Amino acid sequence: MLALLPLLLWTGPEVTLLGGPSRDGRVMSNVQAPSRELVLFDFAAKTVKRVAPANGGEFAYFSIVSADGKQVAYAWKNADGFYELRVDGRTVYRNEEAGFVQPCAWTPDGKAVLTLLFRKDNTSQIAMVPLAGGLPRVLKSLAWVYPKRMDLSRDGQWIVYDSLVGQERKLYVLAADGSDERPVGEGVFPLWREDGKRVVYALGDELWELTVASGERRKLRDGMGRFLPLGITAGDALIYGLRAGGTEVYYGKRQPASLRFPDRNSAPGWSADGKWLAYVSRRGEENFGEESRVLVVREVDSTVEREIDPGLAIVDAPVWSSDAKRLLVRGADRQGRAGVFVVEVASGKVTPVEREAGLEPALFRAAWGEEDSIWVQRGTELRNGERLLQNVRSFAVRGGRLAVLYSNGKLEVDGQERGSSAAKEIVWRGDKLVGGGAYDFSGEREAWTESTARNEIWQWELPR
Amino acid sequence: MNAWWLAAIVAVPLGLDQLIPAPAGNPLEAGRVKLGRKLFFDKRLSRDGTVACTTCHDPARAFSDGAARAVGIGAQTGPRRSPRILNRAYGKTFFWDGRAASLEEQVVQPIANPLEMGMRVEDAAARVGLTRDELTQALASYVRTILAGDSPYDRFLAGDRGALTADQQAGLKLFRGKANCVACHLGPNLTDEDFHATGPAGPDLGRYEVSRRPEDRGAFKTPSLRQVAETPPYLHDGSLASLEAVVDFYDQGKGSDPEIRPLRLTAAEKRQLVTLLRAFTGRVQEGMP
Repeated sequence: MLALLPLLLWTGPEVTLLGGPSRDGRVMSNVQAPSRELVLFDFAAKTVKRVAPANGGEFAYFSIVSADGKQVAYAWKNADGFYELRVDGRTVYRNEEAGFVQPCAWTPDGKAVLTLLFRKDNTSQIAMVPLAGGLPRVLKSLAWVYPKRMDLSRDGQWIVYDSLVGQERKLYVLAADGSDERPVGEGVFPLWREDGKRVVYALGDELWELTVASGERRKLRDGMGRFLPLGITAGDALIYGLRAGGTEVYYGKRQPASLRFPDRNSAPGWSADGKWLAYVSRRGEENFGEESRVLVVREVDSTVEREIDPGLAIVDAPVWSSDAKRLLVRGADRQGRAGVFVVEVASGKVTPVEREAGLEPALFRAAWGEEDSIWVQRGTELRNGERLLQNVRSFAVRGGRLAVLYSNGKLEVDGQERGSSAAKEIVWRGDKLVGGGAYDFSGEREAWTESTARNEIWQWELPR
Repeated sequence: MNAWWLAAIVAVPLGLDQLIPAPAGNPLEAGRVKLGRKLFFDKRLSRDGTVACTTCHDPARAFSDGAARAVGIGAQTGPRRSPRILNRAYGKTFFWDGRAASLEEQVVQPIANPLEMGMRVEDAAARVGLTRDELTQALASYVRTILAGDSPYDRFLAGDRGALTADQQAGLKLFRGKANCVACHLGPNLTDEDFHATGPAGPDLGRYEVSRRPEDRGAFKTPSLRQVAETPPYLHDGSLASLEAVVDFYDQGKGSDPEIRPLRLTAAEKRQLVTLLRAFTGRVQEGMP
């Protein structure tokens, strides 16, 4: 039994869950926080080796170590604002149309990397990217749903991945030559075991194993917390990340806002009358910090606390309307279109205000204006965290339909241009919109987010 | 199935997935593809010997027919236009209303439809010396090999920044943004394989006839935009004669689908969208290489 106890390999404020171990389990790639520098942890020597220092707005993201432990393939946010695939500083795939890449596994011969490509229309593609150049071999495209993890069997013959089907994450086994595919059950973050016959995967806070040929399943561990399988070593040890601690919203004299959903909350917003707090709450399995999110509204003078699932892929920064019946949020819909949305508090009904494929939600800011008009600011790209080429539009909600009031320097009422004076007065300060007759109800009372979250890297010998 | 063997049957054009889904009971196999191709051109599958699959799905017209409504035996007219049957291997449901769940289900329905070919499927199969299953599997296998890709759009997505003109690139930006086409037309096949009431209101209830869900009244499956410039007229009823008319129609935002709203496109933007739609024209291949 002693051999089955998990072993803490690494922790610290700089540790993230972005990375993977070498086959021999001696080193692991990791993107450091907050520098976003790519490093290698040497578990035995307790040393950190720099691989790719961040450079202004350029930095590494997902990474994997080659089978021989000598190379690291990683996603690199380049100076042009999109991600390319690099190996040890060399660009091996660069295509703005596949502007986000997630390397997942090396082929056994080290000549290609199994990579997720994310297209601008928000489809994801399972592809083999040759390191010697040439076009990726796209095996399978997935609409609007992306695998959280995929892995290649040790013989390079089979890929396992997870994909959202309805509300459930399903596992699939796909031939690496694209000749065959079959569903194999429910789960998330699958990894092949050394024997190439079994897959381990997460299901909530439990670790499960599937024997692919027979479909037989067994639970390997439970109570694992918010864990994320990162890799399996040649010795059949699971290396996993664990998100420990929590993130909580407080108000007043440091009272926690949440009564029922502790440790996973952020982005508070007060209603104009000071009776209600809205905040974002995370749900489901750990997902590199991008778990599914819902809205929660809390009446602070009572125990009323209600969850609202707007059915959005991402939801953030809720702002109350003056009558406290609606929330303005930024986020992305389930088709991956980022933008601004209105959520009806009573029904959870969502009305998109502005959305566009291929953008990041952080590009958007929104606020309520006079007579419940909505002001939206949309940058066209993010560089160094700053929005560039800003674009301001305003909308009015009338009879359940949105009418454009102002767009790109033209003030419009019911489609008729009425001049542009108001637009020139729009000024944003931080996340607050001031001027131009618009105003912001948030921030009049204090509420804030505190985080005690930390990341840990663990090893656990998988049972035979 | 080994990769080399699959590649010997079908070389997948640029822009499409290597994985060509096929049911376990009817894996893609060269003999069945060849037989299916013969059958696809064979008018003996219709009652009076005047209509073959190619009558409505003409390879020279990107596997459509150019007519506003499908025309079957005895010059009978069907209620909808013949869809382009390109890249249907990747389809999830079939026909404008999605009433068939697989190609195996789909390929025999026109044979049995009295407005189209008007034969009992068993009788049609016997006429060409096959069983119903053999006929079904062969036709479905052949249809799986009808692929369209390698268009300027595919080359642009693959990284060739010169593959689209400046106007086409502007059109692509509109397609994904202001015009919101990408809400339904996305992925390698430029369709979400879902059902939307975006077209003109009419007596045809579309998907509702299958699902009986009120929200499906007048909803039809999103067609792929592959080779769209080659296959007027447009929409399920063939009511729009040109791509320009289609863009004008959607600019007005009259459909009941929640994704539809007036777009307020300028004349230049409409032109850019049309030029982009022409960039979806690439190479169509079928059968064995």
